[in-house]
Amino acid sequence: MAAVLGISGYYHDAAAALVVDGRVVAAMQEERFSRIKNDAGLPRRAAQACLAAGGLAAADLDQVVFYEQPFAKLERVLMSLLRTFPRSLRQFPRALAAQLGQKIWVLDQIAEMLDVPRDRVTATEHHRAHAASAFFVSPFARAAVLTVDGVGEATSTALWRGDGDRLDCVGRIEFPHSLGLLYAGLTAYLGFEVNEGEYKVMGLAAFGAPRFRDEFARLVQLHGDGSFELGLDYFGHLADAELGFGPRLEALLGPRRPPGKPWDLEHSAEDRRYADIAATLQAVTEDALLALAREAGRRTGADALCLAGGVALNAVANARLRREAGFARVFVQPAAGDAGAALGAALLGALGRGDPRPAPLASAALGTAISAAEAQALAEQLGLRWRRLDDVPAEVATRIAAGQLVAFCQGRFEWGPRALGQRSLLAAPSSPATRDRINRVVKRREPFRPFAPAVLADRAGELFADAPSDLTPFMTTVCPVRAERAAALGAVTHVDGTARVQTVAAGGALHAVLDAVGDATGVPVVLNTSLNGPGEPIVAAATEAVAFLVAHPIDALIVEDLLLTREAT
Amino acid sequence: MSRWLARLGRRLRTVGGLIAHFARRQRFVLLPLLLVLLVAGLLLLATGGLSYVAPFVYAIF
Repeated sequence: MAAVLGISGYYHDAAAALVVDGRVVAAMQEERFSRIKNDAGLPRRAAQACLAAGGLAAADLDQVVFYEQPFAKLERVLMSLLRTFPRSLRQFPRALAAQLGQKIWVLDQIAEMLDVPRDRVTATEHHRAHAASAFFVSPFARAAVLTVDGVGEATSTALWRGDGDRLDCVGRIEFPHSLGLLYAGLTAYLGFEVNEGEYKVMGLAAFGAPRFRDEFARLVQLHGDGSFELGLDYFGHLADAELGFGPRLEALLGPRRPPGKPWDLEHSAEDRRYADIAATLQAVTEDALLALAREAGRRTGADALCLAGGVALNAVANARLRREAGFARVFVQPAAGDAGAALGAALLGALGRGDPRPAPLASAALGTAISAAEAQALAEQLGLRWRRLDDVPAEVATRIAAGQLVAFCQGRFEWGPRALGQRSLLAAPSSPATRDRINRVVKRREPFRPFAPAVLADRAGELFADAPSDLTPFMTTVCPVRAERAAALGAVTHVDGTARVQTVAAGGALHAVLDAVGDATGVPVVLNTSLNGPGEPIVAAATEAVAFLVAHPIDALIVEDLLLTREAT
Repeated sequence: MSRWLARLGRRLRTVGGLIAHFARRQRFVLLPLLLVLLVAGLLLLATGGLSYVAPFVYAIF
């Protein structure tokens, strides 16, 4: 039996995850502590918080596992620089700086950061860590596993056979051919921030029609065995670290969209064209993923599929895979991106030491707990009104039914990019005006971006088709809203008639709220969006929750059983 | 002093592991490039390293 810490870092989404005696004890992203969105450093505070959650000191760790192999990555970088010489000449100084100023020493730095012996720090293959993060916490004894991201050491896409505590690679596609980089390149072309704006592209796609299929056939060629190739002349990721696409892409699709320009899909033909490009990108990505998933099914013979890697956060594509890929069940863990690979690294370390495979992941509440006492002390200092509640669900339900926006903080914060009821902003799901209000004055984000519903799991099927499923507890898929219930769900129904549903099982605080909302309104659904302002990580501690209340036009904050409102006492 | 020596020991171990990796993979063509990079990398370590990360760094990360 062992204590193993997994680490991801030095790109985006630094995170740590702790597995003790085959049990997932904690998993947290550094951004929640550093307050730097997608923190790209090493997860010093997340690692310490994981250890604290497990009641361990660093000296108690049997192994620390980093989520990629630095030497293999350096090898790929050097080979790539040589193959693309002289175009890569401009990149050479930065490659040198990045790899040798930082990356190759990462295992030493982790040992120093945690003050553990260097020989306890090891590295695992990036895509294996991704695959482990999904399969080993899935409910499946046997599954095909598909990992798709920008690039790991050299691999951008891998197919795996998961069986018990084993993962065997059954196929891979290598850099520079990458669906993650296809999506990222077009994300940049559409004027969004890479590694952050991909969700926006997915939301935008629903407003367009996939009418650029011929053009995209030049960008990516799909083959009959599920593999694919990018038209590399259109992309810049081999020779340009800033942009990701080349002049030929603009010649093919028209000029790029300027970053930060306000969107007007109603009146601007140009913006509608960009929406059509996003729709085509989404459709082509789904086609590629579908072919890969079917090939994974053929090669493994499994009837269940697990997905991981940044591309697995594409909830719309996941829904299509569930419908069309030929698997009975599909699972995506909540932190499918690079942060999640920290969990996979820890699990691989634990299994390698003979520990049992963990129980299926039932909750994403793997962060640090929030303190009502701390929030109360802050409220007193700031002159905010506060009181303790006897019946939290009834209070939340009453306020939501009255059209209020309620920040809701309970227990340990969530693992992954989704607020699942631990650090959420809740509202009534019925009125599109509520959605517009949150988009405009709280989140200050693009008007086309949808909000998600949380619904009682045992009543989800009444309101949404294809729900509940293995995907819905962690909000990693979309489901069609039943037409007869659409009027009651206007704030959480996207323009294409779907919603990114979270189903909530019995036992948690959000379930009690949904029960109370159902009693009050007849519809056991709330709009559930993350508790963060524009460009900020989601709230972690009471200080940030109270700051959110003070800084944003919401009506109330509930921290455990403590109600805070902005009116001064 | 002992802390500094321990740190040096870890770095030398990493350099050894790096060279062993490239030898095992028979990437001998990369060794001259690697040596240049190692010298420059040690200089970078001494001067504080890199603080800026571009979005499309896949070619170099």
